[in-house]
Amino acid sequence: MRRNNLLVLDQVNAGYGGLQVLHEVSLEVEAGEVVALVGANGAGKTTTLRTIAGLLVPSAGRIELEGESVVGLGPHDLVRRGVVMVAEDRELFGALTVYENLVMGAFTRSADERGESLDQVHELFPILEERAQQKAETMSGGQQQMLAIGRALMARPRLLLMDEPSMGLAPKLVADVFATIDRIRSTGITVLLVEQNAKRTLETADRGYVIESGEIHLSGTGDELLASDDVRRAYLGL
Amino acid sequence: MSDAGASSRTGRLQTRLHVPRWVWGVVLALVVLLWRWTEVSDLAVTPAGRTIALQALTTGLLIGGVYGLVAMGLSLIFGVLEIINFAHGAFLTLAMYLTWVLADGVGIDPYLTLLITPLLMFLVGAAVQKVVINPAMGQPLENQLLLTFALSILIENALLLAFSANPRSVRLDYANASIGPVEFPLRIGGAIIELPRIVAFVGGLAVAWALFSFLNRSRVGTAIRAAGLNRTGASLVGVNVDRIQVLTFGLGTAVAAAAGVLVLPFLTLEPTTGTQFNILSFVIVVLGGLGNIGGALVGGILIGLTQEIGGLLFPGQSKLLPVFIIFIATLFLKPEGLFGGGAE
Repeated sequence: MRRNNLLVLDQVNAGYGGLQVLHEVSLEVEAGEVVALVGANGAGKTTTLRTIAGLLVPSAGRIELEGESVVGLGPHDLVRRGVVMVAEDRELFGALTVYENLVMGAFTRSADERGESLDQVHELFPILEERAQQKAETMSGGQQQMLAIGRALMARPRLLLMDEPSMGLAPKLVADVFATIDRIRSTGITVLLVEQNAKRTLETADRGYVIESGEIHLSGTGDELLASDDVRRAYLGL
Repeated sequence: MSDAGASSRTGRLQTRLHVPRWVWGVVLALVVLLWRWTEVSDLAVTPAGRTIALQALTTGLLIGGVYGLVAMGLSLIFGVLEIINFAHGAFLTLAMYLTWVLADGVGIDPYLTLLITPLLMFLVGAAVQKVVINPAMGQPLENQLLLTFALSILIENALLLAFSANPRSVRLDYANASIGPVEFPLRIGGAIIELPRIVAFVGGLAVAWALFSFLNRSRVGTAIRAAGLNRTGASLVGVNVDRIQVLTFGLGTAVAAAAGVLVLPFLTLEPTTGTQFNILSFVIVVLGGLGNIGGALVGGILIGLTQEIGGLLFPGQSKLLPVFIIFIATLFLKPEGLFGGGAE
């Protein structure tokens, strides 16, 4: 095993009720990396992230954060330990303003930290400062995605889990999202990124895993995976 | 497909005071009811008739404030837990007996028990949520309805066993005192307003204000609002939603308990006293929008007025008839029906 692993999944099984989605999923994320998890629709990408975030409890296997087991901890516990998820459907507080959503994001943080994070998020997404008093639900999809990422950053994550951040966005906005991920990486935050947009994702990521039918199928650096025939055929349409 | 079972929802908890549009509809209905009364009643045009009308309006307004408070508790619980708590009225009765024991048995002033009864009922509500309600969370609505309904029967019968069906009441030595130049009961234009009813109204508004402030200003209140808007979203920003549900149920129960303390000095207490509060709160919460705390307060006052004006129009009949007419009209006229957000 590698040194410096922030997150380790070892032979994790998980699912919903009687339906097992993940079969012995193992993966590792080092501190400071951007790791991609790519795969087709329904392959278990979201389930993997939800399990790491504590929204699902694995039926078997180990999940360790800096060597400590976090199996059975709720999502609120994991937020306090620095694991924060940007959910696929964003899970914003739609009736609240942009500002209130960001403040909620810093629920586990002190008022001082909150003010500091707010400045950083506003710098990253100036639109969130301009639209501070607008209700979250009245914003466009791209702006809501920025708010969802901004709200997650307000919690000062060490590991940011991002579920399909580019989904449903116009090409110009997709480029913005990937640029944002680069900027987040540069601040030292580790990112585990789930995407259907495999090419873009693997270009951005340091390393990647390919998941198929709930099993990890391939792993390697972003470039290795991009060069792999399997990946090219199955996910890049080449 | 990997998202099956994800519990995402758009919550309806509203913790700011808006005046919803339907209010004007109910006010109009009340005016029509009063006008109807002047048409059908010989009394209406006489001075005695005016006194009766004034009495109905003041009594309705004052009791309506308390109805609003009870309904706020119910609406809060729905807003966060998405369950209709049919034991809300039974908890109110339990709180009234608690106050009766403290006042009649121990000798504490009934109003002083405002510092004790709601606190104890908070613990009761929290414990009930944790032990009884929580296992049923996520089950179909009917299961939760039956569960809380059973709970209300259980509480009522336990009270019957413990205290018998004999009506109880507490006496206030100072109900007819005078404070400075003001003599109680107050007389305004012939209408008589008793001190305990004024205290109940003012106290009810004070508790309502405290609840608003708590929800909108405090950290725990913030967590409650978050959980009431989006449960998954709340857990993803670090809110312990399970704990918030326990707290919220306790808080809603404590609010009903405070209302129970406030009405005890002018009601007779029996194990079924809470039933009417229960039904009325349900009506009010639907009127005000499920989860809309401010709507519940406004709705409570309007339903109090409706009930008393209804008493004028149908003397000797159920005062509740016009209340239910308004209830049914609401269900027809609000296209979003039971689960509408109400105020916007």
